[in-house]
Amino acid sequence: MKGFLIGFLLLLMSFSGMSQELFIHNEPASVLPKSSLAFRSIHQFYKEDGLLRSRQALRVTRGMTAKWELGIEAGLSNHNHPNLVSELYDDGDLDHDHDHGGDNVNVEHIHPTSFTGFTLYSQYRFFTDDGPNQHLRAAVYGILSTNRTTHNYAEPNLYHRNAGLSSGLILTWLKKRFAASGRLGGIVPFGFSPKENNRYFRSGNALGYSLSLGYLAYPRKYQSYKQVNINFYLELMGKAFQQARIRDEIRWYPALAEDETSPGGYLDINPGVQFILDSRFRIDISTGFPLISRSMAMDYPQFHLALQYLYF
Amino acid sequence: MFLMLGLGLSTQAAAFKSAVVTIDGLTCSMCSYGVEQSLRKLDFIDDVVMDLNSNTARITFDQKEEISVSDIAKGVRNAGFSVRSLVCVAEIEEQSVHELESIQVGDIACTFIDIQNTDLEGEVSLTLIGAPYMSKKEWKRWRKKCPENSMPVIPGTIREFCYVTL
Repeated sequence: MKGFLIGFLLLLMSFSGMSQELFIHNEPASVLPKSSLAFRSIHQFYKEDGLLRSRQALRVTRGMTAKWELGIEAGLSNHNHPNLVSELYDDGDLDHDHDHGGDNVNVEHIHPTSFTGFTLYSQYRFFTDDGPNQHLRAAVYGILSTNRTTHNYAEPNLYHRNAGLSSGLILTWLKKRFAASGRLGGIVPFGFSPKENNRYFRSGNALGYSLSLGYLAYPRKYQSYKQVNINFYLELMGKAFQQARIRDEIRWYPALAEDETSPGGYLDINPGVQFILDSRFRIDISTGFPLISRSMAMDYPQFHLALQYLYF
Repeated sequence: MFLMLGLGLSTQAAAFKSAVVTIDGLTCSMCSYGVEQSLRKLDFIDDVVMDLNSNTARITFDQKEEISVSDIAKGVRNAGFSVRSLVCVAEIEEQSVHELESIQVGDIACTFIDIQNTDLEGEVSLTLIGAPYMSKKEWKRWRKKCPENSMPVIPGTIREFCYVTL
């Protein structure tokens, strides 16, 4: 699989020649046209312990000005269990045989689908150098998440797990059929108090990064807005994060070391294909695999489907 | 203070009929569609025909409405892109123009730069000169030719000023 992906990456990079920067997972530095409104439904799936984990979200984004867009996303997921795993902290009885009985038995298998919260997204394009069939652009973005789900991951995720803040920079280069975009941002999750538990849990602070490549494969020559556009994407995405922390009535301290709570980092690779119909309806399909290390918060392969309609 | 230039402002009858705007910074049909829709929101634009390969929009004006060249450029910018060139076609009654002379087209004062003494009649293509109407590189080349504070003193019917060349 890795060989195939690297081959795909090289193939993509070897094309030179109109491009696409309407990346599936990452926003380009460009923002939506002023007063336009994009509605996107997002569906993500992966299998874990024979169970299908899924996340469904709806995102609405509006071009507020020529350079500024503002979006809100709300979602449901069954990724999380209702109680904090008690192995993460020293509960005083020093009995850590992982057989706590009561609410925490088999928490790994309790996955009710629930509303996870809202994520607000704002992006401002501050640098633009446009040329014939090309541009170089830079933008700054900010994210505010109210998501609040119980979990035990050091890795923060402002789109369905953690409340928190994030901000960073995006640099996008587009030349004819090819587009490349890099993103780097900091993530500061807020702590939360799981249900029926006196402890607070806080994922680690993190750096999020991505490199997205896009290629317009069809049409070779435009004839009308009605022509289907087919774009191929390869997106490398990852995070590096600090250890999770727990707070009791007195102080914060590092969560007891587990794979999920330990500091770490990873880089995933997400090949994808996109169909654009009628120059306004997008169908995004992609899969995700670990490239360097892996995320402890999700399993692989991941499948992603998104549908977006853009009202101008 | 503004200076009165050349022979001042000619107020002979002239009107903009159409325009061709070439757009920089885009390659995809979704982006071109965004520009077309942004332009169509302007009241004075009757029709837009977009060439998706050259990213050139052919605009027909609604003569009953007040035309604004700066709003055309703004329409392109609002869609997220940049104007590489804007050429407006004006219907002009017989008239001769000189360097830095201004004529009134509709309610827009157009000051000619980088021209020889020329007789104009019928449909004339005027290329707009100014930061909103060209690439940064091109404007760098032109800005030296555009005198500062050179806009003519105009009676009240003028809403907009621009530099043009033939």
